[in-house]
Order: sequence, then C-alpha cells, then structure tokens
Amino acid sequence: MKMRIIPLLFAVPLLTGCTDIRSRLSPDVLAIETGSPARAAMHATQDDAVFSANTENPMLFREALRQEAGAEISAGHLSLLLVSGSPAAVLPDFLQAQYLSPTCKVLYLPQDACALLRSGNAPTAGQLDAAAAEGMLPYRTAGSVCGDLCGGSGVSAMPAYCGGRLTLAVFDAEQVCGMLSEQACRGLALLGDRWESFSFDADGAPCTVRHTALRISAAEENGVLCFTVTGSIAAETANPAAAQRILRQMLQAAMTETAGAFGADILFLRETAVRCGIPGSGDCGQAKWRAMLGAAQYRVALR
Amino acid sequence: MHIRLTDNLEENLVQLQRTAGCSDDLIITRVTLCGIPCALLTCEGMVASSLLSELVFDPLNGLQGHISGGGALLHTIYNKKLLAADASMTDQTDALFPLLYSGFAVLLAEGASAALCFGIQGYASRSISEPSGELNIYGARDGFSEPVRVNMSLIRRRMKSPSLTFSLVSAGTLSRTELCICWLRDRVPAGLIGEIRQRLSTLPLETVLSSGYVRPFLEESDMQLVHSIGTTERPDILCAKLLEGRVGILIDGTPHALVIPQLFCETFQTMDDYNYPPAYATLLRWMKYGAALIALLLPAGYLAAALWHPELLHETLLSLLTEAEQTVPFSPAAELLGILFMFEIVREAGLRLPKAVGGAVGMIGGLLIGDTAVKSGLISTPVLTVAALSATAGFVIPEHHAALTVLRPVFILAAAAAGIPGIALVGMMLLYHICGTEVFGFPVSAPIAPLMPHRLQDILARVGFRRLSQGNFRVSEVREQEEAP
Amino acid sequence: MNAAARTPSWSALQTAAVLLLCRLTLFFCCDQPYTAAYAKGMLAAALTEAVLLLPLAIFRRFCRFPPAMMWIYRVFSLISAAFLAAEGFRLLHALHSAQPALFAAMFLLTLLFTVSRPQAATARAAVILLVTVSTALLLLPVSGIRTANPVSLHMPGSVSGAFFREFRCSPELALLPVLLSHPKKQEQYAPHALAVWLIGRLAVLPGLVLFGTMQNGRLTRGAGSPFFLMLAGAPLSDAVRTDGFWMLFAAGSAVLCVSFFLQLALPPSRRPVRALLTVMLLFTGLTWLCISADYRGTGLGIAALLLGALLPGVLLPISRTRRQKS
Repeated sequence: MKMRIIPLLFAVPLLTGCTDIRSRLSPDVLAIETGSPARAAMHATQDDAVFSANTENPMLFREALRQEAGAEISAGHLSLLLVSGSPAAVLPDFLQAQYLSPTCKVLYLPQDACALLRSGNAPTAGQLDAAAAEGMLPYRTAGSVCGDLCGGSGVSAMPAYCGGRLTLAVFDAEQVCGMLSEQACRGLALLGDRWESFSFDADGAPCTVRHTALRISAAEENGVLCFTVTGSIAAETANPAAAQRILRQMLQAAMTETAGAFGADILFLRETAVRCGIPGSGDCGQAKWRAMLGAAQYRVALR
Repeated sequence: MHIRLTDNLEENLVQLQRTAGCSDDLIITRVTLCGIPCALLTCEGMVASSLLSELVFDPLNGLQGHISGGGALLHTIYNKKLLAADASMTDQTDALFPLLYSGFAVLLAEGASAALCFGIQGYASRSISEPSGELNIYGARDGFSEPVRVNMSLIRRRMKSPSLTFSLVSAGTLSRTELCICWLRDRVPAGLIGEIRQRLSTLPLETVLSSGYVRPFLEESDMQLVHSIGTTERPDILCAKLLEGRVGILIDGTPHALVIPQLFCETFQTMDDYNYPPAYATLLRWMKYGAALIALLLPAGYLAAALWHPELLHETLLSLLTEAEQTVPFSPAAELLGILFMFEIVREAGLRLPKAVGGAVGMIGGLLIGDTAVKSGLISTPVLTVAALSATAGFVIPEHHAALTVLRPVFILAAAAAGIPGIALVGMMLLYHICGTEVFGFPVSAPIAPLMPHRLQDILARVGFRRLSQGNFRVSEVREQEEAP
Repeated sequence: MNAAARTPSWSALQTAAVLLLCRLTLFFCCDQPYTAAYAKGMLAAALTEAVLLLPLAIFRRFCRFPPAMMWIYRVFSLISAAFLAAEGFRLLHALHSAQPALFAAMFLLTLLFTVSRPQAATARAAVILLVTVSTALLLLPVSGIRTANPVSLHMPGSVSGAFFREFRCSPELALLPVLLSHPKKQEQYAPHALAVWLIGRLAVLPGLVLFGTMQNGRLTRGAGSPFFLMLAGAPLSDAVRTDGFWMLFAAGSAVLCVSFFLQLALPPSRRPVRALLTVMLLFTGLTWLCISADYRGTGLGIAALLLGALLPGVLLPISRTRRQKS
C-alpha cells in the first residue's frame, strides 16, 4: 500500500512553474564583435527588430541582450552568426555552449558586424546558401569550421564578406590570416561537391559543369609530401580546353592558397595522408602538420 | 440462513412468507392435487403466464390416480410428468428463494418436506440488439443481452463444439447473481478454471450489478490503469477469444462479458480488422497505434517543445505559436489542462443527457469552446487544435479512454515541469506499470514482452487468413514463452 | 534466503536486452568523440569480453552463490547504479536541460516506483525499449546519408584508449554470473543470451560509432554529447527532427538501467519498504558523490573485468563441491 503513494508524491514536483513562451525571443541572426568591450546584436524574428548591447565577454551576450530586449533569448533557431574580430575566440565556445548548432551558417566580417546587422546590409543565410549552391563558395557551417580548428592543422576557413563580395577567411586560434581569391573559393566548392549548378566563363565561352569525380591522394616523393587531385570533370562548353585550364587553376588555387600558403587543412588532407599511409601524418601535432602542409607540393592531374 | 422445509404445508408457507417479509410479489396459489393440498409459489412478473397454465396447471389438473402423500405426489410429478426441462427438488429455503426469484415455479405439498421447482421463466428482458459500444461495419449485429441464459445461447449458436463448457456459479451474498464461466476444454490452459473459480467463490460482494463489480477482484490489483481482463458486448468476439483458450464470464443482469486474459495489444483490434483486406487492416492498426500516441503524448510534446525545447520546432511553427500565445492570459500548460477539462465536462454531459438534448449540448460546447473562447482570447488556436486532436484520437481506442483521460494531464504536468526528460520519466512509469501487470500468470505486455516473433504478424500487421490459420494463437503460449530460454 | 532464488527469472532475449540497454545508455552519455579507432577499440573489447564470458556459456551450471558473494554483487550493483545515474545527469547537463534539481526529485520518485515493481517488469520493458530503438536506428542511415563524409574514417585516434574505456562502460557484465545462474533456466539460456548480446555489441554499437564519425567529422572536442551532435547534423528533414525522440529514449533507458541495478542491489528483507528506502538513500548519496567528485569510474572497469572474468572460475569449484556434498 505504501508504494501506491509514490504516484501521488510525483504530483508534488509537477505542480511547479515553468518558462513562459511569451517572454522569449528567438533570433535568427546574431552578430558578435570581439574586443573590449565586446558587442552583440541580434535580429529577432518575432518583432523583426534588431537589438544590440555591449558585453564584457561574448559568452555573456544572452544576458546583455535579455536586458536590452526585455525577454529571454533562445538561440535554438539561429541560422547565421556574424563575427568580427577573432572568430576562434567565439566559435568553439558558442558551439560547446550549444548557442550554435553544427549546421548554423557563420560569416566573418572584417569589422562592425553589429552595425552591418543594424543597417540591414549584412548578407543573409539564404545568400550564403545560394552562393554554395552556385559553387561560388564551399558549403561551410559552424560544425565544419570548428572541426577544422580542433582537428587537421588548427587553421580553418569560414565564409567572409569583404569588399562587397563573399569569400573565405582563413584563421587560426589567434587571428585571421588572410582571405582567399575567388578562384580558390570556387576550387574548394568543386572539391566539396555540394554545389547544385556550377557555371563560369571560359575565355568568353560559357561553361557549365555537369558532374565531377574528384579525389585527393597523398604520396611521398623524395621525402617531399605531395597531394594530387585526380579524377574528371564533365563540363558543357564551346571551349573545352579553356574550361579545363580554368578548372585546373581553380583546383590548384584551392590547395595552394589554403594548405600551401596558410597550412589550413580544410580538405581533410591529414585523413587522406593517413589513408595513403604517409608516415608520421597521424601522430604529429597540429603545428607540425601545419608546417608539413606548408612544405608540401600540390598538383592537379585531371583526365 | 439454512432453514429446512417441514412436511406441514402451512408451516412451510408461513416460514416462506416470513423469510420473504410478506413481499407482495410472492404469489401463492393454493390447489388440491389428487386430494392433497398443495401450494404453487411464483414471483410476480418472473414467470410466463401462458407457460404457467399450459405447462403447469393443465398437466397438474389432469393428474389422476391414488397417491399416498405429498412426497409421493411430488416424486410422481418430478419423475413422470415433464413439466419443464429445468426441474429440481430442494428442501432448503436458501436454495429455494434464488430459484423462485429467477423465474422458477415452486410446488409445495402437504406431507412433503421438499419442494419441486421447475423453470418457466418469462420475465421481460431487452431483445437482442446491436451493441452500443462496439460498432462494426461487417461484423454481426447481435450483442449480449441482460439474461445470462440468453447470452449462453448466443455463444452456443456460434460454437457447436461439445468442448464448449458452461459452468454456472453464484456471486453476491445478497443478490445471488448468476455468473457463467465459459471455456473450451481442449484449449484453456491447465489450472486457469480452478483459479478463476476459487477467486469467484471468495468474492466479498453483497451484490453484483455489473461486470465492473467482479473485474477488480479477478485482476491482480484494483489500481490498474491498464485492464488485464477485457470486456465485450459481442458474442462473436467472445467466441474468438474462447478459441484462443481464454475464459469468458457472463454475468446475469449485464450485457458485458469478461474475457480472461486480455493482452494490451489486443485492445487495438476489432472484429472489422478481420473483414477488411489485410493491407487496409494493417493501415488501420498502425493508425490506431499512432492515435494512441497522439492522444497521450501530443499535448505534452507540444508543451515540452514550446516551453523547454523550442529548437525542435520549425521556426515558422514557433513564430506561429508565439504569436498565438501573446494575447492569452494563461500559460500554455494551464490552457491545455483547462481545455481538456472542459472537453471532458462536455463529453460527460452529452453522454448523460437524453439524446434529444445531448446533441444540443455538444453543439453549444463546441461553439463555446471552439469559437468563442478563441475569439475572446482566453485560449489560443494552436492549443485548441492540439487538445482537439488529442481528444479525438483518444476515441479511436475506447478501451483506453479512461486511462488516457487520467494520464494526459500527468504527462502535461511532467512536460511543463521538466520538458522531454519529464515525459520520459512518466512514460517509464507507465511502461513499468504495463509490463508489470499480469493476470493469472499471463503478462499483458505479450507478445511483445516476452517477445513472440511469430505472433507479431497479428500485432504489427494483419496478415491474411491463409497465413493466420496456419498457426492459431493459443493464450497458453504466453505462459510457455515466459518459461522459455 | 536462497540467493539463487533472488535472481531474476528472465528469458535469454530479456537478459540480452537489459545488458545491451545498459551499454547503450552509457554510450549516449559518453562524451568521447567518435572516430574509427573508437569503433575498432570497441570491437576488440567486445570480442575480448565474449572470450572471457565463454566459460559462462559453456560451463554454466546451477550455481549457488554464498551469501557473502551476493553482498559483493549487491554493493557493486549499487555503485553501478550511482555511476550510471551520474553519467545520465552529465548528459542532461550537456543537453542544457533546465531545472536539474526538479528533475532529480522526479527521477528519484520514478525510481522508487520502478524499483518496487517486479523484476519481470524491468525485463519486459527492456525488450520493448530495445525493439523500439532498433527500429529507430534504422532511420539514422536514411537521414544521414546525404551528409556523411567517409574520409573522416581515417582520422587518427587511439584504439587502446577505446579498448579500455569499453570495460569502464560495461559494469553490467560483472553481473552476468548472477543473471545467468538461475536454477530454473534451461541449458540454452546462457548461450542464447550471450549470442544476442554479442550481435548488438559487435554490429550495432561499432556501426553507430562509424556512422557518427562520418557525420561529426573533425568535431572531436567541446561539442557536448557526440551522439546528439550527430543527430543535429543529420535531421530527417528541415521540419522533422528526431532529437526529441532520442532524448526521450536516453532518459527512459537510463531509468530502466538504474532500476535494473537497484533491483539487484535490494537485499532480501522482511520489510521490503525499509530495504528499498535504505537502498535509495545510499544510491542518492553515491550519485551525488559521483557527480560532485567528477568520478568517471576508472576503477569500475577493472572491477568489472575481475568479477566477470574471474568469478565463473571461482564459482564452479564451489558449486561442484556443494553438489558433491548434497
């Protein structure tokens, strides 16, 4: 009989309060400027309004914006994070705190991310998706950006908006190292194979890529690490020679401007090296791997 | 009260009248048969008058010859005159009165210390009609009625096998209600009948007015949310259950028969499932499973997602919910509980009122709750939609309506308190309750737990009869599966 | 009271289901990143455990445990329950579930109810949960096929670390001698149970890890539970997410597994309510200790290995001696 009171006891904690749906805002875009003081701004979908506030630490943005907006902030529907300053100081912590989902888009702005959001001129998540669909940028999300910081060489790349165009910014744990060229971005998009349509101008002739079958392999030749892109690209164009040349240039730029110039392993080169049995590729630390990438050779050998 | 009859007619009559409290429905007809004073006792309204004169008065009046005394007279009538198919002799008043009040005529004679009882029942009873609760499209349209013997005949008509056995027992110290235990001798698990008889014989009840009086004493606990003993108003369903080795109990005075045991999965089955094509029947089964989950978990899931896990909702849906809740003065949990409570009030009112008025109540309730409350801003449309879906889904499985009504608010409160983990805790309590429920050694969670893969063909789907008939289910397999390695 | 009579009377599938769910619950709670090396270590550990448990399947007899041995098992069960509960609370914290104190109170009340139920209810509920999760696991490849990156399988990692971690996360194996020694069970019970268990450990869990590796990629640090990270990256569609179901399942299976351990920890007593409350009090204290001390059960794995591997060898002579004497 005494066990029967347990369901009744259960009723006691059930009769407590809970959060209220009405006093909660769900931003779809968040802007963070690192520095001292840090700044945060968000676009709330419910009100279509932008709230901004200063905060000591980017991680305290919820509290700062809560005071500004007068409502609890729920970051569960964040679709785009704009970052100015040091992305590495923001992204991993936000991901761990689950303010970012791994599929959330991220965008680096060299400065004034909050001001750009307030002005309404900041690129949207849809524009990033469109760019990735058209093969202008590789498909990069918070998960892939932070993953490359954790693994690989500790240098990652994230979409950036600079000079009125979308590109990729390469950064490490301390700073932004540089921006990639359009060729490199398109080459990375080709290698990522997440595009839906890929068109470019081949010396005056329009070219549309139909299908790619690309593979990166690693080898050690005379003690020098060598990465080679092999495979084929099927394209429709009136000028196939020019098209092939431009595609090779894209792929070459993708590897040399990331891994070669900055030691950024965003193409899973380390895993490729392990798969191809390159000694020391799996055991070395990030700094060593970064140096190895800087000294490696990069080739493109398409059929 | 065991009082034996004497061989003095007047003494017996006085004693019987005293025992009956001089009740006006006890009719005593004095008659002289072969020169011996006799008395015929009947109960007002319980015997058929036409049968009384045709089967009793005429034959008895035609009695001739020399008979030495009352005892010889009764023996002559009992052995030589076939007045009724159901006849017995008794000398105890506590055996005589149940027969008298069951429609038997009782003949007493001067000099006989026993009474002759013969059944000429003719009391008014409801004709066989379609059951109100278990409607089918293709199945039979006859349902059980109140008299237990009529119900026995309905089963016997469908099962002409000599292995079908009926056993009448009496329950209720005051009402002496007849209960009929029915089973198939070659299918019922060993020992089950004995256990049931033993429990029925120790029922601490004064009256048995419905199946709900008896069921709690046959189940392992009276605090069960999930019944391990089923009820049915349909003779075809009871016959199907008897074929699987189950035991049925018919109760005089109620059209609901008890079925022992009832497995949890079977509450989602209807007779129509076996009339439809297998694909359609399978779809209906899964629809019912989905309806049960919707009825139980939709309000709680909505609350958990809206309050604690908004990231699980699509942003368009979330903005709809937030916008709808902005002007409502109550919290979503209070809204849900209130609307479900109002719904139960309207449902109960519609059920209890006369049919002419019940429809109006339903309309007014629907208008009030559905339209006016939303327009006035007392409740929000998403909450109303969720509550309506949940309530409607609950009607798909009427067997579980009571449990769903009780559990729904508990899940809502758990979701409001702790979100999805709270729902998980209450869900585990419910799962343990179901899995721990047994009746006479049969776990109700079979054939899923213990897992009987070959029996899932009638649970996860409704396979064709050609395959179903290859291995007919016997409920004894459930006990055997428990013991299997 | 005869210790053997206290052991649960379960079928082979029920025993295997409980064992698999215990491992699965700890799998959900584990924060170790998914790598191919993890899967390899898991496979190697499962095979090693199977070899160590082979004597139980082949040479199992109707073992009767001396009372002192049963007390050791009871204490071990209690510690395992606390360990599992602590891991569950860590998962809740990683998922940012609100009101942990209120949840803890509800959790304890739920355990009071479930532990007071018959042990058969635990076994049956385990089968139902296992069937449910097996069906749900089939959906994962469907949802993740678009985003899986096979090259992640070549990420470097430590096989030996995963190997030893598997033992730490398998406390239920130490209780196998208790589970498989019921005198009413038929001869095929132990081999059947271990066979089902082996299928789950060899095929399902390593497969899940490999799938997670392809989903999570290089995100191996600081992203919370890798299982839920995998789900976040592989929704069924934009509008349909299964995270809620898995959260529900993880909490439910944690309740079941903790109940299983606590039911084994319950000593036979003429006052069952007092025994239950005593065990719950000890359990609450141990759980609090595990959470606050950040105890990750390093020694638990070694203890499990010793008990599970050595006890059959110890018990067989005891059982034979007693049968010879009788």
